[in-house]
Amino acid sequence: MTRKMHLGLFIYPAGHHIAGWRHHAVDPHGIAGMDYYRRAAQTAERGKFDLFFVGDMLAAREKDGRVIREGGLNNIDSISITSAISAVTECLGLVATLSTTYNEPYYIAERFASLDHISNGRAGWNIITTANDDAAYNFGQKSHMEKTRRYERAKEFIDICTGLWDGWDDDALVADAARGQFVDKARIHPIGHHGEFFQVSGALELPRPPQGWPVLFQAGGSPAGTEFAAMVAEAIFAAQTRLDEARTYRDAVMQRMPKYGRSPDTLKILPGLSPILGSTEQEAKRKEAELDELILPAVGVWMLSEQMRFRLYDYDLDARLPSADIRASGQGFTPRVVSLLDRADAEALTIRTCANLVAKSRSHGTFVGTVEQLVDHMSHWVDSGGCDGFNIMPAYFPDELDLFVEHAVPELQRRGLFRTEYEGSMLRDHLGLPRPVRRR
Amino acid sequence: MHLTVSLAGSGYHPASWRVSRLPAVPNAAAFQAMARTAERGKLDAILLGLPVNDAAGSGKVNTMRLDPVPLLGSLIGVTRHIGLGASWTVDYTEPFNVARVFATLDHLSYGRTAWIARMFDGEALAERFGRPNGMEDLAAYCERAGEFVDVVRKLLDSWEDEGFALDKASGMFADPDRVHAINHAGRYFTVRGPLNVPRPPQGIPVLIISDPATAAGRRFVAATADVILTDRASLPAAAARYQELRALAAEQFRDAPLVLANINVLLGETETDARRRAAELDAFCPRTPDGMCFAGTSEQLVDLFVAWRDACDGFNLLPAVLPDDLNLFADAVVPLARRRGLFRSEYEGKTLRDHLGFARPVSQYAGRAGEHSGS
Repeated sequence: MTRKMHLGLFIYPAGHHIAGWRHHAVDPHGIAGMDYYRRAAQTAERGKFDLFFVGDMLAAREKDGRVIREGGLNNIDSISITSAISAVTECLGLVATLSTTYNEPYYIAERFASLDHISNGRAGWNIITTANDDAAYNFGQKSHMEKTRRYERAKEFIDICTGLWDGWDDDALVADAARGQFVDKARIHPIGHHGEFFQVSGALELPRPPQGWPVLFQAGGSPAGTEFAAMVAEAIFAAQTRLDEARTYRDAVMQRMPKYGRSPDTLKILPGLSPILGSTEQEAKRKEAELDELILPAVGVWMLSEQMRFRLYDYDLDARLPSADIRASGQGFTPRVVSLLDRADAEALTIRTCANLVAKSRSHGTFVGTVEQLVDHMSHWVDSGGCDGFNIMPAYFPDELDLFVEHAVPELQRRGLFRTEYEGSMLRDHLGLPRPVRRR
Repeated sequence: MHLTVSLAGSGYHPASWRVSRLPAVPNAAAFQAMARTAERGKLDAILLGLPVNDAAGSGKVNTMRLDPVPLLGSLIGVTRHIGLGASWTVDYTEPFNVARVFATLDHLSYGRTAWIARMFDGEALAERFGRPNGMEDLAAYCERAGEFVDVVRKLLDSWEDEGFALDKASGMFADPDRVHAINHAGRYFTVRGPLNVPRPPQGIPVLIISDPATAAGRRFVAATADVILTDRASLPAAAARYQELRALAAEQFRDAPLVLANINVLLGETETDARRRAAELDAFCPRTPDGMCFAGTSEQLVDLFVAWRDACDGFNLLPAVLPDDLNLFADAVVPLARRRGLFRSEYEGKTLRDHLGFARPVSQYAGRAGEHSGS
């Protein structure tokens, strides 16, 4: 039996291709306004996507405090966008990314509980610990918290949030006009958290969210991230670009779940996928080449340097990527980086080529070809146990999203790989995830 | 005259939930319908996050609170003109987060947002954040709050308007000479910047602060806010406070901020009707004044507006029962106020600054192209 897959739309200003904003079909002036996000979200909902996904960054695209000229824009605030979209869509899940390193748990719990109430059960939280070092300078820190510590903090953070979401019994809101009792305080259970990172007491001023908890997403596949995902994640925005890596990663997370008392079928993994579609393979390749020509080398080198945490600015663009020096310079590389380093070694790639690879997809998976080829590719990944679906990252908006929804979605549906109608109204329904049981 | 309205739960009478037609559970559709009503009345703005007084305690009042930030977000796509404000504390967050959120909301809404900087009341929040808010040293508290606002403004200004260059031909998305690291290093905050959101349509979203209880706090707010919400329960007290705030602003060489008086509004078709409604609700638990408590007809309310002319620049309505008192206000009071020349009949501008008569500020970094960060 074919397994139905899950699809997210990862929205981005102008597009996921770094030079997408320069494309002749893109009007970059509108990329921060409501109309831009509404159009994309309503298109995704027409395509029966599971969810709309917004990322988070807490520093500008800059080098030593100076903004990158060709750099484009990362996502603007995710909660603002998803809450705005909640009012102009009905079924689409709404996943916002916020950092546990640079926020307070009470606010985040209140914010996501509110988004879940406002959207009638469509909220998801993509939990990140923030990977870019520059964020620290915007939050009064001399340096970014070390990764192991960040995940320790994240774990405590999540414990507090879930405790707050579970604070109200289902029957705490009595609204008994005759007795004059609006809530039964005996059925609201304040938390009293005294941990290493946080001291939090009290309860939310809100009933339990419609989904119990917003769906907990996680992104980031380092060893610490993988362990964290196995412990808390219900869905993962993954970054593997090769099927064998994706399978290894998926197995690694799923094998770790039972020790946390979790069943592997309560996890969905959606790697990023940036398709460029053409009516023929040649047309798709021509489109890709057109886009790639718009990339200025400086931005690629900057992106590569940021990802590798290794300054490549003074190197010859046409020299081979100094992968040995890069590997020696640091540790705890993300799987995206490891994957690229391996590929650079295997294929003797130059800095220019690597920069180009990173720039065009921000080193997530790409696919260039026809609709049939794309659907073959997607179904192969799902059937081979590489993933449960994809977070679609259009190279530029709205055209590449429109193409996907008008052509790829019907083909997926025709092959029985994707829903033709929403079967439930909540994000948990779309993803087939259980409502968390209250832990009191 | 300027008019704003606050929306919360079932209304600002502590017994409102007993008679409100709104569902008890938090309900987005109800907020959207009320936002449309407020816009039909051409009100300046909806101000979210002002608490309902819980003096009755023990679960007898609907104090349920949706986070005002996502609630504001959910109203952007269902309105076109009305301003939208949301409160967020300065006590337990970081300036970068506040600047990023309000810059985004202002972009999404094409320039209709206000940040209601919640301050001077953080004691209630202390247990949720595991540390006191520092109010016991008021001078230091004001200094920190002032620095917080200052950093938020620097971040919002960090992209000059021209910094968002979008020059496809040359490939210049952002102009590095016109996007500035702020390199703020103060007593309380150290923030490098720049913000990662281009300068918002309003430049800086409108800053609203509630009138604090202490003279020192008031002096600070008069020097800082674009709009101040006062809560005096009588005309003489409101007039005195209005003069005091204006004098405090003048002393600090500042244009007078707009002063809006909070007014808890309960309306009736007739005076008897209004009194009956008020008596019924007060029997459950009386209104505790967070400002003037009004019960009467549309005519009487407009008379009050006229009488309070020298006590404020307008009003922030706290409808006693939602949606009833908002509906009556939009459909009966506003037309009357309009006929008497007190209130607009159409929105004349696009942004909240336009509605309030504020100019769009120039970035404090304008003209500093070429001056680079740091060092």
